[in-house]
Amino acid sequence: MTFRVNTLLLHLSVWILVLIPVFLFCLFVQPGSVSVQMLLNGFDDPILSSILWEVRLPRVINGLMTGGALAVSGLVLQLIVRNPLAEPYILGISSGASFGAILPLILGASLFSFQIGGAFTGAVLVMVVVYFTGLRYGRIDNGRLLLGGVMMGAFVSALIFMSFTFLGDGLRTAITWLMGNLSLGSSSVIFTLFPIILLIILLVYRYSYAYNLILTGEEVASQVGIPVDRIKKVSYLYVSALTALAVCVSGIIGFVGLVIPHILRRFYGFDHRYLIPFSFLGGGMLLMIADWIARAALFPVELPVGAITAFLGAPFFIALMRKQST
Amino acid sequence: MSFRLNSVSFHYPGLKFHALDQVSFDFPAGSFISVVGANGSGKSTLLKLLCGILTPDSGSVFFDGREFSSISAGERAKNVAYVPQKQDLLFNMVVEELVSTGRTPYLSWMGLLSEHDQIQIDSAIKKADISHLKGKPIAQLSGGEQQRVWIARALAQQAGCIILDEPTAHLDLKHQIEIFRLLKDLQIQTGCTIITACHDLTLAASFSTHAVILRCGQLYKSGFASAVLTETAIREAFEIPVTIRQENDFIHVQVAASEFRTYSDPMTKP
Repeated sequence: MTFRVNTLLLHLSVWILVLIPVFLFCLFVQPGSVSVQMLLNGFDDPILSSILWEVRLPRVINGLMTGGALAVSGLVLQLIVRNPLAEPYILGISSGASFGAILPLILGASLFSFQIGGAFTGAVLVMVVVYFTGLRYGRIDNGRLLLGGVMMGAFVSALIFMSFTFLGDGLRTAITWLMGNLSLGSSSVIFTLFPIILLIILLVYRYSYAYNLILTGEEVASQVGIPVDRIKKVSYLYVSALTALAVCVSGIIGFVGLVIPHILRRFYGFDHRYLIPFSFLGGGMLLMIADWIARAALFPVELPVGAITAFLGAPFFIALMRKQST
Repeated sequence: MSFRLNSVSFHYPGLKFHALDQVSFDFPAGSFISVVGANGSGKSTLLKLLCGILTPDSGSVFFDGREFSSISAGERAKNVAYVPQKQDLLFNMVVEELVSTGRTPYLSWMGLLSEHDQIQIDSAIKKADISHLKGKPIAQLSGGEQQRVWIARALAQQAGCIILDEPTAHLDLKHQIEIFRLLKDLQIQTGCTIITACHDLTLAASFSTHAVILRCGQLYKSGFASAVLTETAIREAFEIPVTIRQENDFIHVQVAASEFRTYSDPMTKP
């Protein structure tokens, strides 16, 4: 699809028109709990109002934010490591964040803020190690970066499983973190991180045309004046930050970063000027819906949202691939 | 566009030997230059230095009298276009989309195409004779067609010089000739300088005006193709005896018959 600003704005409007009802549905509708009617009639009720604004709203916004951040991370990562299977978790950052979140539980610090801080620190530490492993002669070597990520992921996962031995009451919290949960972050944390994530995505969008060029080959891109090495390094930092922030408030949620970019490429081709904003919205919507299903499917029992994303996404993705190949 | 290399040396980080060592030559604008040499002789490195992908450790590259290092990457891309040897598209693209990326040096950071850009893209597609393939995904094209698409992309760049790294690698005989005919037509009709690395010495000798022979990273010989691609020079540079035979405009470079052993293989007898 040839890029036109008008087409971008038109499609953006359609995406937002779809997003609004999905957002409102996920915010207000939930079987067995506080129903739509109760919520609509009870804005004056302090308890209902508190459930709506302090529990549901941050959770739905977290879905949009985390899903969007993971999808954009996957999109950019597949490009910079030149591997269509790449997604944020392959760099080991999520494992680092998870270990960072579990560590305070082992040490007896059950405060949530310690877990958030630990998750972010763990993600950043892994990111730095993988980055320096990927450097070769001052340039990022795609293969080394990917292998370094897989190795660090395996190493930190081993630490996580070993740490289970030392977890008593914290084991349940740790498992919740590992299986993904959008209620991990408090409303103040969510509302602080949301603009930061949006800002990083805007910074990523600056490179959208350069990404199109890098897609045609790094040498070809550098020959037409694109600073490929610098863009790869900066993009890696952006992707790592997005993943770290997402894992901090949602735990491990796989699949969104892999499936959304591939689905959108079927409709929008290779052009990152379309793919970046629509990946954010698509990833966000997928996670909001997955979280609603996780809450509603076996109410009052809550399913892990990461399992729902894979359960919904994998068959859809396979069906799409089959349809394209016939 | 004329080229001059002044004692250019380059080595890849981590390797002790020079990929190119003190290479100097110059060529006039509008020439068709073939760069030949055995594997590992430095052909691809030379081409990457000529189009600005690599920067020399020492020495200077000049085009049209201007030193390469004094020109911005964007400005350089308006003068020199590059067709890589290994075309590694990560995801499938449509022909027109790929050709349009050749306009990058003329676009803003968001890469918005103007009407003039679209005219140049259509013209490049027409010149490369791929109008019928415009909307097709690259992966569905044959090797020869793909090579034409990349040449169209270089043409959309509107540069005075096109540098190609082994454009006929992996192509059958028919497509090899077609690609070289296309390049020759471009050189004659547009006055564009063509620089191509090539393993086929018959194609190099038949189509080029000038030639460069590299040997172990050093310049072995350069100048007019007829003076450079001689039996003696090829024998010494490639370490194999050849015979050269001219037929009309074509010059056939053949490995000497003495190099083929005679096997008494019963399977070859009818």
